Amino acid sequence: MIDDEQLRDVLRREAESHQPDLVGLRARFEAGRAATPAAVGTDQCGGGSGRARPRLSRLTLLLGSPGRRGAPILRSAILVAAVVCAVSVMVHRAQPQTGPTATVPSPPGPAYCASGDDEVLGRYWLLNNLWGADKGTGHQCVRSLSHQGSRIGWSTDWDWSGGPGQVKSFASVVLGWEWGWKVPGTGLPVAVSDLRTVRTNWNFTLTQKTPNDLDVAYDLWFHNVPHPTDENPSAEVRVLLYHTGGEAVPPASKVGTVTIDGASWDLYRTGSSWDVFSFVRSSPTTSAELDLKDFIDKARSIGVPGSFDYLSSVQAGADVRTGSGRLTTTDYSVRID
Amino acid sequence: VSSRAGGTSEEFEVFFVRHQRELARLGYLLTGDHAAGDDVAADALLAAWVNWSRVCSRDRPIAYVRRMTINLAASRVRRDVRERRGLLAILPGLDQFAPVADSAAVIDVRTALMRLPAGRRACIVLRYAFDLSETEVAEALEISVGTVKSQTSKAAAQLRLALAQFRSDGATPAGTDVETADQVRSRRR
Repeated sequence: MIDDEQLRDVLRREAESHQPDLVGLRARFEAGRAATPAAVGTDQCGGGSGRARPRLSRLTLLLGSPGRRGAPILRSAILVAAVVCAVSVMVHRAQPQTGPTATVPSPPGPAYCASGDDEVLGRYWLLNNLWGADKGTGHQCVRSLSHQGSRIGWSTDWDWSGGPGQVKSFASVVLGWEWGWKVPGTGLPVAVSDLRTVRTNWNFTLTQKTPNDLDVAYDLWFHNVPHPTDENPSAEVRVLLYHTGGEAVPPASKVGTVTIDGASWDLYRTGSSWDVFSFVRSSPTTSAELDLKDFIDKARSIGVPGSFDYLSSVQAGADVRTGSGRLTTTDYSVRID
Repeated sequence: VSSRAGGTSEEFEVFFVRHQRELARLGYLLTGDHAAGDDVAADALLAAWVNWSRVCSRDRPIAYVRRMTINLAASRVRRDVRERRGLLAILPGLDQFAPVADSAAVIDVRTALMRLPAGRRACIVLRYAFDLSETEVAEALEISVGTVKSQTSKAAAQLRLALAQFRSDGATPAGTDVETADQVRSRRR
C-alpha cells in the first residue's frame, strides 16, 4: 500500500502529465468572448462603461451569485435572452405588490437561463438542465410562476436547432436526487417496498412557436443504495404525457401496451448503464392526475429484481430535441406516502 | 452580435496567462479527459471575464475561477454519464475506442480518481495535486474546512486502496462506468 507522500507525488505527476493545448484553449475562450454581447462582457475592474454597468449588476444579481451560476454562456442568444428576461422581470418587480400575501401566488420569479441555474420552491427545485445543449444550437430559460405549499407553477422557453433526435435540455422540477441532493426534507429516497402511493397532478399548456420534437414527461429515478450521491441510478421510469415530433423511444424497444388510469400506454424498455422504462400515452394529454406507483409497479413486474430498491427522485419537465416553444405548468404537485 | 472591439484588459490578461495551465490540469484531473480539461478551463476563464468587474474585486479571483472549473467539470462528467441513456448498441466492443496514448499507470490513476464521488475528487486533487491549503480548498468549493478535512481523508483512503488493488492485479480494471463515459465520448469524436 502506498503512503500519503507517495499519493501526493502520484497526483502531482498526474496533473503535470497533462500538457494543455494552450492555443486551443485560447481559441475557445476567444470564440466565447466574441459571442458575448458588449453590454454583458467587460473585464474592467470595478469601473467600465457607465451604460453597461447597471444592467450588468442587476442581471447578475437576479441570476444569482457567481458561485451559483452554471456553465458560462457561450452563445450570444442565451445572454441576449437572459438580459431580456432579466430586464422584463426588473420591470415587473418594480411595480408595487398589492393584496393579501398568504393566499396570492408569488409573482413570477426571475428567468434562469444559464446551464444548471436553479430556484428552490419549497420541497422542489426548478432546474435549467441543459445537459445536451452542445448537440445543437439554441437556448432555454426557466422561471417560477407560483408556489403555495406543495403546489407550484413554472414555465420554460426554448429554441433549439441542429442535432436531430438528440435531447438538448430537460427543464424540470426536481423532488429529491439529481446527481446529489439540494433540498432537505423531501421524504426521498424511500424503499420501493415501503412505497404506498406517489400521487401527482400536472396541468400544463404547450405553445409551439415552430414544430417541436419533444416529450413532456415525468422522470422517476431509482437507486440500489439507500443514500445515493454521485452513484449511477439503477433504473429510470419515464411517463410521457405528451409527445410530438419524431420517435420518442426506439420503436424496436417496445415491450407492450398497458392500461393505467383508464388510458392506454405503450411501454418501451431501453438503457445500457441502467434500465429505462418509458410509458408513452397513446393519446397525448396536457392534464394528468395519477398515482405514479402504478407505473412503478408495472415496470417492476417486468424489470430486473433489485433495480427498484429505492425511489430517489421524481422529476417532471420537457425533454426537448428540436423546435421552439414554451411549456407553462399552471399547477403541479407530488405527494409521496 | 458583432465581436467586441479591442482585447482583454492587461490585468485580466495577466490573470489568464498565469492560471491557464493550472486550470486545464485541474479540469483534466476532474474530468479524466485531456480535451475536456482544456475546454472547462477555457469556459471557466470566460465566466471570469464576463463577471470580471465583480470577480476582480474579491480577495482571490482564483478561488472563483477554480470553483467554476470544478462546477463545469462536474456537469460535464454527469452529462456524459447521463447521455448514455438509450445507447443500446454502444456498450459491446467499446474496447476498440479506448485511448491508446496513455500508459497503464496513468489510466490507473485516472480510473481511480474518476471512481471517487465528485466532491471527494475535487478535495483530494486540490489538496494533493495542487498543494492548496485546507482554507483555500474550502474557499474554492464553498464548503467548511471540516468538510474539506473529512472528504480529503476519505478520498485518500479510497485512492490508496484502489491503486494498491490495480497494482496487485497488474492490469487496469475494465468496464468501470467512467471509463465507459470516456470511451463513448471518444467514439463520438
